[in-house]
Amino acid sequence: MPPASADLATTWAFLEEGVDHIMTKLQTGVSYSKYMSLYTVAYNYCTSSKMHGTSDSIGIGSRTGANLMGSDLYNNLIRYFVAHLKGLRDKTDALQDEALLRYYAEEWDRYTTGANYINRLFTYLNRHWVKRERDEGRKGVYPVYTLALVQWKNNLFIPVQQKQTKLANAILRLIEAQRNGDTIDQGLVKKVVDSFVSLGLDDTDTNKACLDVYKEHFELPFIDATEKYYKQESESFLAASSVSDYLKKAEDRLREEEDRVERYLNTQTRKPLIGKCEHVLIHERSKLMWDSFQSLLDFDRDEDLQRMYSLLSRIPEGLEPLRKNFEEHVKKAGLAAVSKLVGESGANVDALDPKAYVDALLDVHRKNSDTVTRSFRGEAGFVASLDKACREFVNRNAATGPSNSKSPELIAKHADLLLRKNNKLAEEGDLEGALNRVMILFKYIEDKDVFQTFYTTKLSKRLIHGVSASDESEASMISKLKEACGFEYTNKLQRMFTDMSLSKDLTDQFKSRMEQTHDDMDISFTIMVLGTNFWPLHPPPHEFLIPAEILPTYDRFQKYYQMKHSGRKLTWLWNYSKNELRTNYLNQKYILMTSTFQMAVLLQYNKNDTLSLSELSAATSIPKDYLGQVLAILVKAKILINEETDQYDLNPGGSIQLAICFKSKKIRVNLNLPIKAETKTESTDVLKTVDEDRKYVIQATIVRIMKARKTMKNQPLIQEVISQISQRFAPKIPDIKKAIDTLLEKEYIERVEGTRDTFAYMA
Amino acid sequence: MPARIFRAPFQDLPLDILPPILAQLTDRRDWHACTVVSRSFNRAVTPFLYRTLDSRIISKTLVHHPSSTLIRRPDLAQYVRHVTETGTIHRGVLPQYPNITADTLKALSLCTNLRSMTWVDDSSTTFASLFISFLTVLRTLPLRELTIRTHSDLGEQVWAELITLTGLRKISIWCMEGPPRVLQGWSEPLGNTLTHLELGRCAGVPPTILISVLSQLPLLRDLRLKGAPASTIPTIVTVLPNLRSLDTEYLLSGTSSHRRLNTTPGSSSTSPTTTRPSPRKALQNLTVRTSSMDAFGPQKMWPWIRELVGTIPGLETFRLHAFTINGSETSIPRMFLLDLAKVHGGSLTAFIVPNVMLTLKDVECLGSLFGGLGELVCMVASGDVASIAEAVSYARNLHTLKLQVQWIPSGGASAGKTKFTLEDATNMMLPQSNSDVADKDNDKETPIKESRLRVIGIGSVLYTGKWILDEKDGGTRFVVTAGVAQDKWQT
Amino acid sequence: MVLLVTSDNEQFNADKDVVERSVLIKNMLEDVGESDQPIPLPNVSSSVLKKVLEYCEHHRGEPLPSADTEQSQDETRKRTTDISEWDQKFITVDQEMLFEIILAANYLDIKSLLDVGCKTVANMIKGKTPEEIRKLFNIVNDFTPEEEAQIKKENEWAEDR
Repeated sequence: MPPASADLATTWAFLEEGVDHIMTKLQTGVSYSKYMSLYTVAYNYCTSSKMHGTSDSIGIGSRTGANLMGSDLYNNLIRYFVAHLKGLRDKTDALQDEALLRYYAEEWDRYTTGANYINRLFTYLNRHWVKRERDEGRKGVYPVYTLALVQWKNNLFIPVQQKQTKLANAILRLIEAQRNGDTIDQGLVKKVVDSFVSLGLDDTDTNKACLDVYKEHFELPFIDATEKYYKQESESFLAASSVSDYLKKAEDRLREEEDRVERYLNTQTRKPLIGKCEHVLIHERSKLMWDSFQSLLDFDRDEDLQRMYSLLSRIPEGLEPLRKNFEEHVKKAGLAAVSKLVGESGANVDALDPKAYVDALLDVHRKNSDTVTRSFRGEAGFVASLDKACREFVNRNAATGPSNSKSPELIAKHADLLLRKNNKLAEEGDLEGALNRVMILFKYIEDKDVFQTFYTTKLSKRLIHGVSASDESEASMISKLKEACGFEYTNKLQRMFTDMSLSKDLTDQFKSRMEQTHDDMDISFTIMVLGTNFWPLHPPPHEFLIPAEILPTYDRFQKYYQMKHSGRKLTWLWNYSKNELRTNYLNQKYILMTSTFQMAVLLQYNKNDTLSLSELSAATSIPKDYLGQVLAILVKAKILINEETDQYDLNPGGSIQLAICFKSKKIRVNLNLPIKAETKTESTDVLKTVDEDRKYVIQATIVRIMKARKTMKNQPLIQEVISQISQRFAPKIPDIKKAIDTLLEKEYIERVEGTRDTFAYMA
Repeated sequence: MPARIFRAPFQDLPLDILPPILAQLTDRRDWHACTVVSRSFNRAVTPFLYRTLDSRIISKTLVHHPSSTLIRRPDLAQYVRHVTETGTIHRGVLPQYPNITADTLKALSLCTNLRSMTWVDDSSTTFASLFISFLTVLRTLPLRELTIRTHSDLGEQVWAELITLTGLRKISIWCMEGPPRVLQGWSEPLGNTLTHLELGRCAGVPPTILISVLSQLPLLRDLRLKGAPASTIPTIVTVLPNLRSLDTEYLLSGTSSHRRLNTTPGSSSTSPTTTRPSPRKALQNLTVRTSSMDAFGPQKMWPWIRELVGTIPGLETFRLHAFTINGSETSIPRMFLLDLAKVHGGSLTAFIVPNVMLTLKDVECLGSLFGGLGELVCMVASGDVASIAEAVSYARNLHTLKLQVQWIPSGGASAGKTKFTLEDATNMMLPQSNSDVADKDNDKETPIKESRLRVIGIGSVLYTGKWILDEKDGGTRFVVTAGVAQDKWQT
Repeated sequence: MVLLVTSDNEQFNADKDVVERSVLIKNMLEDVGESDQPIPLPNVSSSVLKKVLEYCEHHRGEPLPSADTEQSQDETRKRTTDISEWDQKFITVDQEMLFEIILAANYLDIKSLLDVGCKTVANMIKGKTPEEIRKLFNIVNDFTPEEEAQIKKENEWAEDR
């Protein structure tokens, strides 16, 4: 060990021997005393300029003393590394590919291990001289380990790379071999690639990783090679294989590349690599995929669809054409299903079975909804396409023609059938499920008010005729509608139920009251009092003479009710009432179940055996033409006998006899059958109601908007009206304009003076 | 040249040692003195002297500005890390230095290692183009910290420039006038660097804006806010997972009712309305400033503070600056101390409440509840020195004690000493094993055995204890010196 | 246990976690591996090593400063302007020993001890004039009057504060 005062030559000779030992044959070991003497010699040299050493300085601020000492050692280290690396570099000339990589990796290991050692031996240099130099902002001065890396980069890495990018190419060839299915030494690749990362240096902060070397020398060429490779592969693959197989292939390749990053590349490469693969494998082939989408749909190739979806979802705008295509597909399927049901010529339109119709729509929906969930992972865009298509074919199809009300009507009818007594589905216990399925379609109905009106009508029938399957199911359906459309939508429906239960109480109260005050009650009497505004019911369009037999009961109830609720007006809906009559004129006693008008007719025969149409009409005030229809059912049931002809109205004087020898297998005979004219007018009545309601809704909406905004232009007003109403139905612009005109007339709003299309609210 | 007769060991030290020695100096006058000691000193000290620069006006006619030196000696600019620039001198008030702004900018541009800049401008008008010209130079430098102290508003134009600076780790902005600006549009690009933030004016900023701006700064460790309504602070704390130090006011603004404070005792630690994005670290330092401790202030403030310090143990420093208007003293409810100790008993080392009156029982309580308490600053009222010493002795790790004492005159015979002397300080720092006391009170545990107290401030007098080398026998002895305490607010 | 041998050939046995306060020794044990070989310390005398080991003993188990970047150095410097009680007592020695300790701490790479030494010297410089500093450390003013004037002029901006 040289003395503390040794000069540079002596010092470096000693140090160089030690450094070389560490760099080339560290495996033979270093003793404590060797280590300490190397450190101490370096330390001694660095600290050989003392406080008193003033004579070596010339001028102010020049680099002297400790600065010189440090740079002496530093420069000698550089010289050593340069020479050492030249020796290593020379050996690479004869090496290629994997052999080159092996040599490189092995030497890299040895070199970095040694450099770590040297770094610590020269830690004094790092702590003082290097730190000072770097603090003063001098570029190109590094801690010794970093210096070693810089030298490796400049004297080995760059020169080798400059020969046809030998290193990177060797790696790329290995990766290509792996892509072609060969097994390669991944550990080796990882080691070399990691060295590229280590060689990146951030000049201002040596602790910070910097990937510039890795990116320039490996990542960029790697990405290029990847692009070339997959361009070529996808081309030749598609020339020989189907799109389905290609989807599988692309998926596999993408997974492989993800794995590759995981195994031996820097994680930052994931983004550019996967991005490039997606571009070449998916984006460049997206047209082909879009084009074959339809046939995959047609043949229900779920797995392929799923694959195509997940591939195209990786690129921007990749799914949009699929969504459009899917929408069209669903729409076609829906239309086709209905057309099939209706028949080629549209022959079955009128006799369309609501259940068959609903089932056909639901089938299409279910099938495609399954596809969305299974193959498109329930992705929102596809859900929207499905909804859009369904809305289209649910509202407009071969069964509806141009009418917007047909579909709501059929669906409401189907709901009615479900909710009636004696429905098979209810017995099977899947009524709830069936109602939920109705709601699926309900969601798509554009004119929800039409459905509402039909539903209300049907519900009122179920209630007053007592044919509802169960209160629970009714309530369940109403709560579903409420959930879908809000409180207002089902308000009336709920009121109808309230009326029903109030009426039951009222009947009971009335009955017990009558038992107290009258003892001549030989008629059992049940009443329903229904709020005019909530029920879609109308009184008979004609006069009616209340038969004397029920008149006392009628009067008593009128009085009782007025007493209870003075000021309320009762309108008697004879056309919805029903009666039971007991026969006394036959051997066998029958109970006849009749409508009130039938009852009124039959009661006439208490006093006569034969009556003419005119006489009956006079006695009941029922107009002859309607009376004819009433009689027809009685005659058909053979309660009455019309001797002459079926054409009652042609012969008002002809006699109609009571059939004295009436016979029936049943004791209870139901005569209360719907009259043809009634069923026919029902639909048109409903539509009329809807139209009236709509006019009112549009007007009310306009007033509400104008009240809030005070003034508004025509166009925005119409827009606003549409957006507020479209939940319930799709308002037509001419209707809105008409409503505006009406409101102008009624002076709810006025035109702002000097403008053509601005309205103001009139308080 | 005198022959060196005696061994002068300093001369034998390697030159490498000089920079670390000089680095320990803090006063620029010392560095300045070192520049002319010798060549070696000059070389070693120059980087420190030029590390921090500022411009000052000596008088109307004489300006010493470092820029002229830097322009002549550009090699010195590499040492510059921090610059403080005063706007006033660039406003043409110095007719004999017409080029001062251009020179300053030129010099600044040479400081390629600049890390931090402070801009001070106390004039009452905005001079946008001046500050913008500085920002233009700063943009080219590796700036990490920016401090702005101005009287007038920065103005839209400057602000628009300012928010394009990136890479900053520390920002501190105090502008007396103009609309409050809380980094809207700036916080997002700063999200991956900013760790320290001071905003001098938040009053009037809607809580939602304040919260959304701050929530974009996930790395924030140190936050000081002035003028933010108290009700938003707990939410802010929850959106900053790395926050360690918080300095805020307790302001009950009229519009602060958007977040209900949970005042149920014992359950205040749970945050009822916010969801925590990630488990946040414990707050280490909390400073609360409140200007008026009126009738309803304190009772809501204590649960509020407990909510801020949370349930994660780790609070080290607690400061409360409470300025009373009516001259009466604030006190701290004992329950608050107990609750605080439940969570932070093991971590708290400094309890600094200079304007709060504690009872001696409170002091005793603090000492036993917070085992690691090293620094205590407060007001006490006491009849004698002995009872203060007794109360303080419970804090076994206390090294700094600063008290404002109200001596309670008691006429009785038992009246103790009410004047604190150097001797008292010495006794408290280095308690003698007094056998008399031990004998007298042997039924009672005598806590006074060893003390770590080295700094005692009583009123404006500061006693400092130190071991020094005895020249005669080479042994050490303990010396206490008395001096005038520094500004009492700088505790 | 580790065996240390001083420049004056005295042997010291010390626990590994004590001597590893010296980053030099810690690194060497890591790099070379542990063995029974004595560790020669050619630049440290027994009287100083005794003192240094006393310091290491007292601070054993404390975290070592990490391999630091510029910034964290700045921070630690700010935080440790005060010398702890024990250290202050420890470093209360004559000037010769003080400089010997600094020298040894610098050689052995014991950062906290070097800091304590440097702070102590810095405290001696505080508040002194250039002439007083020269006198304190027996330094010769090697500036010419012109050079001194030039320096004064350059640093004029920093005067007087």
